[in-house]
Amino acid sequence: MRFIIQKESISDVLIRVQGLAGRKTSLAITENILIKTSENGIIISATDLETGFEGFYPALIEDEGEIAINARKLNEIVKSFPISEIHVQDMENRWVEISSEKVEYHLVGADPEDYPNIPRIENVDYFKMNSLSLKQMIEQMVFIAPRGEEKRPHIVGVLFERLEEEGQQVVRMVSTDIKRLAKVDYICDPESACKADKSILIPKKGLVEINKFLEEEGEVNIGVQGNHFVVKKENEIILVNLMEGDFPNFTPLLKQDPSLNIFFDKEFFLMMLKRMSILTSDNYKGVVFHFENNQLLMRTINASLGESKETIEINYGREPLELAFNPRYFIEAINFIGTQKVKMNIRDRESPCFILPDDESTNLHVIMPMSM
Amino acid sequence: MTKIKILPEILSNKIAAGEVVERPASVVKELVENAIDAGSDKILIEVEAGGKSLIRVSDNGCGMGRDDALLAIERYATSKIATESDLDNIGTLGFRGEALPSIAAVSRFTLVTRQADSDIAAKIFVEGGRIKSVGETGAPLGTMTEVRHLFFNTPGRRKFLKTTTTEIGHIVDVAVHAALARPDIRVRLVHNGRVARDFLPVSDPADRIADVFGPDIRPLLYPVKRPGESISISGWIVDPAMDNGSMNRIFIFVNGRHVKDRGVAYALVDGYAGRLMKGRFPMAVIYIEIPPGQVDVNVHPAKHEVRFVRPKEVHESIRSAVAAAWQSDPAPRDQDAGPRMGEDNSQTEFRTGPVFYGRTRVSEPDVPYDSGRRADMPGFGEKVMHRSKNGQPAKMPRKKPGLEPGQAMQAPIWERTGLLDAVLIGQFKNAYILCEIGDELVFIDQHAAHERILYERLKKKRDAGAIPVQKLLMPETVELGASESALIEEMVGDLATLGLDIEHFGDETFVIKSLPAMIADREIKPLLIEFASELAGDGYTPGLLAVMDKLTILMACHGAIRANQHLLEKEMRALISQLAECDNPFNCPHGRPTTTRWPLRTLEKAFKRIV
Repeated sequence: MRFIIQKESISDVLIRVQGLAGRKTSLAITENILIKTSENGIIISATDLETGFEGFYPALIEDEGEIAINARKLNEIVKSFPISEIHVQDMENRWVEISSEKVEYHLVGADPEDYPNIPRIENVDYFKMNSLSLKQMIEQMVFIAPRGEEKRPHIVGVLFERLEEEGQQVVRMVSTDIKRLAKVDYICDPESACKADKSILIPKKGLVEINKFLEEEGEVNIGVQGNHFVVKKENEIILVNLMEGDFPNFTPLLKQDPSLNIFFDKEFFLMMLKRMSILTSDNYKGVVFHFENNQLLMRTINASLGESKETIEINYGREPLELAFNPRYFIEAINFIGTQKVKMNIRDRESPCFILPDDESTNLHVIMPMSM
Repeated sequence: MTKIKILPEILSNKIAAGEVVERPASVVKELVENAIDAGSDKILIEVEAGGKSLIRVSDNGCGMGRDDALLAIERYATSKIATESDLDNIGTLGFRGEALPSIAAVSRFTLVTRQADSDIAAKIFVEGGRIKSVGETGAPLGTMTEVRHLFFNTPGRRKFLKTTTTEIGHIVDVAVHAALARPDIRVRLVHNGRVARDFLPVSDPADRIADVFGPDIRPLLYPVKRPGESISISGWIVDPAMDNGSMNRIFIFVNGRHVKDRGVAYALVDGYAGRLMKGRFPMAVIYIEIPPGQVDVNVHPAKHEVRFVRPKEVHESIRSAVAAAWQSDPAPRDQDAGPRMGEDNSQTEFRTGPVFYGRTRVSEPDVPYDSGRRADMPGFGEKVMHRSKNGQPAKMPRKKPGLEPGQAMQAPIWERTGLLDAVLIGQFKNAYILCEIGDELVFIDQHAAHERILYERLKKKRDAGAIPVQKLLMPETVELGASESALIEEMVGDLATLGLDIEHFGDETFVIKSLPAMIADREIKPLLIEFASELAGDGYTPGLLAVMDKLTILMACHGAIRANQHLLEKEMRALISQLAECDNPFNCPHGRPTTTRWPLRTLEKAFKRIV
């Protein structure tokens, strides 16, 4: 196998596949990427056995064949390669030469026959989504990340739904760690070909990998085929194995009474929370919120560090209410609010608190209080 | 013709003997218990050939009349209980009425007994369960029971007898148990004509403990005292430096009866709270006084086991009694606390230093405390102090070899204030802080020490009751096994006080509505299953608290400075003074020592300045 490729054609993709190839598995071969020659270009494959990637990149093919080569080292070599034109060819005993006139690397390759197959996906009913919207949706899902050895499917995965609501096609994603929840809706373009279908669970890890390939502009094709969630760009395709398991029924939790709305200036509220969280620690995660007489008093009491308090004028005329929250949950949720005002809907110490933009837009964050 | 027959009595007695009379020591145990129940204050145990050829127990108790004596060797004949309700209120050690006939069924058995109101003693001779002769003889007040040729008519059983050394070891154990149970009774054991043990009556039970284990144990004893309406706990716990890999140095007496109970042993370990390494057990003598109705002793024919009606209460009483004992001062320590590390091994070179590889302890005696009294006896002396008879260190019980060096010297708890006087020398290998305290060179493991400091800080906050609780958006349902759910159901109230709001949802399903914030990121099901299995194993573990403790330890461990971290002088000083303020400065929360000490004398010996 021998080909010549421009550095620019593959430098991006090599960075993007590092997450897939870098994942520690018992199958050492997945630390490699597979490079196969094709007509007028090469096909690069990477997988961590849960998420698979395949992309086509133009190259000048001089001799056909395939190689499996260490993803991290190839990326470093390409990144620092002094000139644009890179020559790649295989040699005896699976050695791979990467060279230009003056630079020469010989890398130990792996047997391409051992490389796990990326499933062939055909006849997928794709629908279109705005790439940037999908990227932002995914970001709002994966920030509620599973910890450590977490195995519960509804925490490891994100619920992905396709619904028809009020005559519109809606893609809905929901993420939770059972202490909080984030829900984002995407209203599909009528031309997108999105159809209501059964809900699926997509692992958050796979979504993180997908996100690396999503551009800030244009559209992508989305499909669900068999056991896979598929994202297809013009020359690239990513498949994520779906998870088995149930997502708890969250709809009854989301009922809000509009009379309980409280409004904040987003930036100020965010800074206030950050000021209050300075004195929290792993052991003292809670900040006390005291609502009374059109005022919110926040305070942190941490026996080992000290105390802090701050007040803010708000619209609150109900009975005094005192409860505690993990301020990190608030900060992370409010960061995703796109409007200048934040709407908080809060009932009592036992009920979930809602954070949402003050327009009637599509994202919603739900946080359970703590008791101190 | 019927196939099923009632067994002749001699045969059934032989079968019963299989349960009660396992070995000579079981005979001694039954006879000694009878002697105690008879109100004796002197008990003489004479054995020959490890009890295989002769066991003779004489007491000065109340004795029996001729008719009673004859009845006593009938099965189910006893003076100790009369009605069924007595069985729920057993105040004596024996009660089954099985011991004497069982022993008589498998030996050549002589009973000589005289009551105070009679001048003549009754003498009964039984062989293999058949009464051969009944006569009269002159004898002192009390009862003498002689058992010769045990198992002479059950050759199968006889084959299973171990060597004389082993059997006498078990008999010594029985004598020691009796001695610890009743310090007011004189217990004398004679083997092959030589006095093996002679415990004189004492008024302070601690003296009896010192008699049993050697006088050097005295300064290491912490008294345990927890009088209670239903359960009273008393006794002594021994400094954790005397720890052990097994439970066999935990002596538990329930209403005067020596029993083995894992639950009590674990309660003790809980009371040691971090002073012991995982898998190590303390040395302790614990007396539990509990109304007879609250404990079932009729679990095992030899009554080794008991069951408590309310095991959790017993567990908590013991744990808190032991925990409180650390607040008290140990028995006063002798000014010259005896030999120090390596003292009896003057050939030791510093470099190879077996002194640092054995489990040498601060107050280990250099001669067996009981030497001369019983040169041929195995038993407690060796077990406790790891000494053989010639005074050389015997083979030590091995732990993981890698752990040995660090355990050379673990400072006893009452010397914590010494840390305040530490003169800093410096840091070794960026891992150990060296300082001088009095006449000792002290090494402090910086990671272990800091871990202890952080752990105590976190624990204080946790114990202050301010456990922040994270409510769950979606209550989590957990399915448990049948036995686990029964146990968890009982604990629902306890768990709620720790912030784990859990509700029984029918059958084996539970719903969790909130979690302590500290563990909110953990999956709760495995934790619940772990408590439940611990509960099932011990009968009573304060489950979640223990797991919260594990988590506290984990957090302390992650927050603590590591080895291979250079510390400034200021930092080292701060670490030492914070360590000195800890409740238990001498162990990290995992139980490893934080400090190890080299006395000046060891160095002087290494340099041959003294020999």
